[in-house]
Amino acid sequence: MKTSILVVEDQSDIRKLINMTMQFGNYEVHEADHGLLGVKMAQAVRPSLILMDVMMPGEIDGLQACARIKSDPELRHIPIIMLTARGQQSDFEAGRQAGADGYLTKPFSPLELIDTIEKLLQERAAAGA
Amino acid sequence: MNTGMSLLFNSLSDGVLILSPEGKARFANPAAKRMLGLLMGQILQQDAVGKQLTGVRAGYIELPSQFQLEVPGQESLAATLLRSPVGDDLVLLLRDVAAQHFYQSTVDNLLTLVYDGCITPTKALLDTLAQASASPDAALHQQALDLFTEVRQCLKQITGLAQLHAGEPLGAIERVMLPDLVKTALEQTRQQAAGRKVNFALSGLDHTELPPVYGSQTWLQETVTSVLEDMLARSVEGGEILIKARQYGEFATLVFSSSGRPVPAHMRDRVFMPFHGTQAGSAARPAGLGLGLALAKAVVQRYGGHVRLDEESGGITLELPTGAPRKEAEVNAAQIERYAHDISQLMARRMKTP
Repeated sequence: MKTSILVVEDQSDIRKLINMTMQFGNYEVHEADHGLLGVKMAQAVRPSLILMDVMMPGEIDGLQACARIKSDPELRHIPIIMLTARGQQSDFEAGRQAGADGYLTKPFSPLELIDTIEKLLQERAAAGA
Repeated sequence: MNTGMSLLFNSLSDGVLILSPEGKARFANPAAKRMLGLLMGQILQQDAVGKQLTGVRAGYIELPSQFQLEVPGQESLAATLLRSPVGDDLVLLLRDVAAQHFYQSTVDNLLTLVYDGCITPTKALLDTLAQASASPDAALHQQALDLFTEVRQCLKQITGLAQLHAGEPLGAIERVMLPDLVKTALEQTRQQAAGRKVNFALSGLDHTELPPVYGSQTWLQETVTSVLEDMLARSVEGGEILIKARQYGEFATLVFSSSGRPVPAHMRDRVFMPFHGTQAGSAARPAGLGLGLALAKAVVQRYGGHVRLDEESGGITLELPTGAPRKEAEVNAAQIERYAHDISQLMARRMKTP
């Protein structure tokens, strides 16, 4: 059975890159192009992990979407990796407050992406075992 | 009329009309048509012009004659009636006094800004610095610092306006929370509010409910503070200013309202213009620098938002798009090389996996 990953990212090129990278693992990718849709898809799909862009246009940005997911008792167990453009300390702090579990600074490489996802999923599996 | 003369008259911002002795329009340049809304060949309906023409025909008005022409929808037109250099026709020259007042007040406000905002505190600063350099008095040093801050604020507004006018970027895009902007603006205007005994009522300014906006924290702070300063300047002593925040779809709004003075009708279309603002100046209570709201509008528009003045109440609404600006992914050659390398590594890994 494939592991489902939800990608919440407004830039279609980055979504495609992530989707392409995920084909090298046993992953099924779901995509959302804005924060509000990301929250709705998280509720509908219940993915194993979420990749969430910090800076997104629309009603809510990635940090708010992350906070909403983490405040939902049904979803808060899902690990969220924030995709941040600058990797500034303030972004990490804001992400931590929103409940993020990890970070990737853009531009990230496919290897870095897969390794980060696998490491986080293994940690969660070990903690749950 | 020959082509050269037509071109000359048509390029003038003042109105030029050639009238028959009975007052029928034989020629009107575009400015005159705009001012009077007139059709060629018609007799001018304005009473003031009719009286002038009657007076000229009867011989009791000598030309050139100057008079005021009241036209509905315009403040006033300054009119001059003179004889045409050729034939029996008359020439009526019209000048939009409202436009003239507008430019005059712009220049007056600019010069007031330079003098009161920059030159006066600079002179005071220099005097204070001269005294402070020879004195250990801490109060004198503080006074110099305060004056320097005043000069700096004036220069900051002028350079800021120039920067916006030139279309320069406003700096890094940051994640900005509206409640933080309001909180800082309240701190920055605390003295002004205390002086006028004004209270604040806040609504909807909750971090968890309001989405962030993206832009320069410094410029957005300047915007919110400028609007609050303007509201305070127009507030009644002991009054209350309500600041209400709300989200409408992909926009967040900050609505400032009070029971203070509304903006006078004749100033409403100029409140967001540089060197105008919402306050009429007087010797007893000088107007502000007239830059705050102009800066606020320029900043908000730069970020795709809007600023509105409520004509009835004098309240001001700031509307800003929520979320980050739309962006395109930028990929350089080094990244492509790295992606290619990583993809080959992932393929190798996959082939090793049983």
